[in-house]
Order: sequence, then C-alpha cells, then structure tokens
Amino acid sequence: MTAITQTLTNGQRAGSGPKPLAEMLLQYAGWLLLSLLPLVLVWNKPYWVNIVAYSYLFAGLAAAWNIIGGFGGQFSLGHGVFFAIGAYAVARLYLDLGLTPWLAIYPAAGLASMVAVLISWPTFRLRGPFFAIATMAINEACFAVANYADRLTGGPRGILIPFRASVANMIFIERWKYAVLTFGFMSLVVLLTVVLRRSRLGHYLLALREDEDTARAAGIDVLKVKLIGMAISAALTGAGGGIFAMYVRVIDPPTLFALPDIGVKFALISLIGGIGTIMGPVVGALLIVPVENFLRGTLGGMVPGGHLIVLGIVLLCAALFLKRGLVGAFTAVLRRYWHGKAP
Amino acid sequence: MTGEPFLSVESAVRRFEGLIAVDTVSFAVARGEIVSMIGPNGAGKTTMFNLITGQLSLSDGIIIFRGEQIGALPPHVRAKRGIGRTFQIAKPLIALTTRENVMVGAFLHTSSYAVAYEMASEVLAEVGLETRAEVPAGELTLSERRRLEIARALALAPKMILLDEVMAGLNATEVTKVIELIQRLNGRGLTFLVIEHNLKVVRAVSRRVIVLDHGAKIAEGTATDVLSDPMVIKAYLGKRADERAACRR
Repeated sequence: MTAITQTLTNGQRAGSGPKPLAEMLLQYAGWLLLSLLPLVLVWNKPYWVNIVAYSYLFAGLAAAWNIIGGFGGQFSLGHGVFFAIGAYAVARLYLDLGLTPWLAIYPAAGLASMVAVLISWPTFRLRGPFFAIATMAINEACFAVANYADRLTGGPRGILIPFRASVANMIFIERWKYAVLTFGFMSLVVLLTVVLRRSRLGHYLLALREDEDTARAAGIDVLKVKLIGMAISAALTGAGGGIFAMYVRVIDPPTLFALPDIGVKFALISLIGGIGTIMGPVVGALLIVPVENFLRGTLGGMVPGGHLIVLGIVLLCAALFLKRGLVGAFTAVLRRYWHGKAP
Repeated sequence: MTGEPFLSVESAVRRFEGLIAVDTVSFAVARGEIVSMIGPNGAGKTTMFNLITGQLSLSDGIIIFRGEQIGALPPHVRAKRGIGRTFQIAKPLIALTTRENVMVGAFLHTSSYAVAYEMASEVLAEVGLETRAEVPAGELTLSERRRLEIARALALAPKMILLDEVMAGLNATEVTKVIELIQRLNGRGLTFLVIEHNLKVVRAVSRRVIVLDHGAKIAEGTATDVLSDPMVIKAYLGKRADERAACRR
C-alpha cells in the first residue's frame, strides 16, 4: 500500500536501493491500463466513445503541460499557441505535401518547441502570476495573427481536412480507433513523464519550482532548465494538436486558441487531478471532460454558459480544498490510513 | 595564515540604494582552513556570503577562487567551480524527499540516477539523516533541516563550503554534533567559511576569525585575540559588556 501511495505522487519507495526504472514504468503502465476501463464501459455507445477519446487526448495534453506547469511550476496559460502550431503544421503538411500525419507530427512538434523557446526566453524573467498573464497575452496575440495569416491558417474560415479514411491518413470511420490513438498518445506522454521525473532534469525542474535561489546554489542553470522543460512540454503539446487536427478535421482560430477550451483547460485538468503528480492529468481529464460535456448538454440548453459557471465553482473548490488535486488527496488518505495501522 | 590563498576577496563593495552593505572588505581563506565571520546583526555577513556565491553581484572589487576571478560568474557556475553554501533560513525543497533534496546537489556531477542515489546515501549517512531519507523534506525538524542544508551542499562535492548560521536554533547536543561534522569534513581537506553567532562554536572550530561591523572589516586574527580586542568588544559585544560592568559596580 505504501508503495502505491508513494509511487503515485513521486515515484519513490521506502527501503534500500533505487527502484529500477523498468519496474516504475511497468507500474504506471498498470495504472494506464486501468484508465482503459471507461472506454470498455461505453464500448458500444459512439457518443461516449467520442468523449472518452477526447478525455485521453486532453489527458495527454494536460500531462504535457504538467511537465513545465506542474513539475517546473511555470504556470503557462499560453499552451494553446503550441497546440495550434501543431494542429496547423500537421494539417498543412498533410494537405500541401501529402505527408502522412504519422510523420507530420514530428516537424510539427519541433516547430512548436522552437516557438516555445523563443517565446519563453523573455517571459521566463517574469515570476508567478505575471508569467501566467504574459503567456495568456501571447495566446491572444497569436489568435489575432492566426485570423490574419490567411494563407497559412485559412484565416477565420479555418482549414477543412477532407474525410478520406485510411490508417495512413490517420482518419478512421470507427470512433473507437480514435480512442485507441489518443490513449496511445496519453500513455506515451505519461510514461515519458515517469522517465523525466526520475531524471536529472526532473529533479532540477522540481528544485527550481520550490526555490530558485536554492536551485542556483545547487549548480542549476535555472533559465536553461526552464527552457528545456518548456521545449519538451511544447513539443508534446504540438503533437497533441496535430492529432486533434486529424480528429476534428476542421480547425479554425476560435477552436484552437479559445482559452477556456484549450490553454486554460490544460492547467485546469492538471489542477483538479493533481498538479505536479504523474497520474493527476489522467485522473483530471477523465473526470472533467465527461462532466463538462454532460453539463454542456444539460445546463447549456437552459442557461447559456451555465456549464462554465459550474466548472468555475469546481475549479474554485479544487484550488481551495485540494492543493495537490485528487491524486494528492487520495495518496494523503492512503498514507494516513497506512500510518494509522502501522505500529 | 597558512599556504597560498584559496579564496581571496579584494576590496569587495556592495551598495544598495543609499546603503553600503559591504564596504571595501578584503580577506583571504587558505586551503583547508576554517574561518569564522562574526559581527552584529546587519554587519553585512550574509551579504558578503551572497557576493562570494553570486546570489548578489559586486558593486566593486574582485573575488578570486582557486586562481580564477569568479566575481562576475552566475551562482550556478560558482557552484560548479566548487563553492557550496547553506542558507540562513533553511530552505528544504519541500515537495521532494530528503534523499531527492540531496540528489539535486549530487546531479551536478552525474546524470545517472543510480550514481546520484548512491552519492545521496553516502552524504545522508555522513550528516546522520539516513533514516529520514524517504521522508518528504517538509516533515523534517529544524535540526534536520539544517543538516539537510549541509547535505545538499556536500553533495555538490565542493572544494569550499559556506555555512550561514547553521547552529541557530539548535540545542547543545545538536550543536556538538554539527561541530564534529565540520571538524570531520575539515579533516578530509574541506575548506570552510562560517557565519556564526555562537562564540563557543567560533572558538571550537576556527583558527581564524574575521569581524565585520557596519559593512567594514574591523578585526581579523585568532579567535582568542579577536574576541579580546577592545574594538570588537565595543562593536560586537559592547552593550552586554557595559551592562555587566554596570552590574558589577
């Protein structure tokens, strides 16, 4: 039981000797398999399969955000930019050059990563809320640019990707195939986070989040580590954006840059699931995305924007009462239970 | 003073707007020495530390460490050159376990998890925190936090270590333990610069003492000489000595 509680939060174990990486990866692979349960439960209901597919995609995206936002403590609200770059790049490469999305994702991720470093260089000088506001402003600026850059983004009309189902095109008739695809993306990001959490970079990101002076005194080049963390986070976000483009097949600026639906949502999912924990984004997404859809369906008809009010209240409560999210609360309860029983 | 200077501070000046926190201070520390820095509150001791480790930049003057001018280098590079430090207010990285706190330091010289893990084990045993290795650092007691500060600095495998009031708030037993730790490490060749208010500690560990007052160096010498220097007594212990004298009368 302690092994479970500790690995959930920080991947450490009591006892002598470090735990082999392979063992940790297996453990998290187990948790990931468990998160297939919702998909199995709604297998023959296409509407819900769709929502589960979205949940996995946003779990992966939130986990990508969590690398710099959670572990690194740099509360970016501008990840919509990297998401949009990934989406536009994959769509353009696919439509203009006929490149399969499976390969187009790589240059798309690379481009998102490069832009992230360029944007972050100046903004990382800002701390706390000022950093968050600056990244939000950049998101809005890029929204405007995307509207004007007609030839690249299709402007306000957006880009339409014609429906030509095939594995090579990453376009499927059956919804469950998308769910498998997004599950794969999520698993990749989560397992990468496990590796990262154990690595030097992971320790450095956590250290600078806690105290930059202490980090510097421990020989950490704070700006460089932040930039590397951001580059990895943005690359994965760009890849997720590419998958999103092939999934919805209609991408326009409001879809890609809307703060409540994209940029802020990555942070919100991590916050509710457990910021800076490995499984937090998965738990958060599997909860928030279906609940939001449900609320949009029921409340949205009666009170326009009603679901946003409820979500806002949920977020407030999470911020007030669940400092380490659901995963943090869960592990705290398990720890207390364990310590209570142990002599 | 023995041997050639290991660390040498020459005419160091640090100005804050309108205030001179460190005023043309020069001193040197030899390899393998333990030097204490004492002085009343606000004398500029911690500012001097921050100038040496790069947390603050010099307004004027130079700092030479092992033959290299380090005065303009950023703090993380000075850590790589071999300067470790603790902070006056112990700052454990509370989201990390005790071991991980130390590993953050150990990762300076390796990117291998296993190697950093082992280094952390050694250092934790050295400072007597091995049983607390897997505990979140936020749960450590004050005394343990102070030792963790030392451990994180030690994990850098430094050539020199700067301790900023590591004894503050510790009881007599704990103080003795830390003194023993300092002497043991010094026995292995580690050089120390120590800010300390506890004069018993100053006498016990240091051969040489530097006294700062109002940002300037007012005395330097052996602990016994410095502590009987009338100027030091006036600046540093003045009030209490006067009070005692008044009581005797």
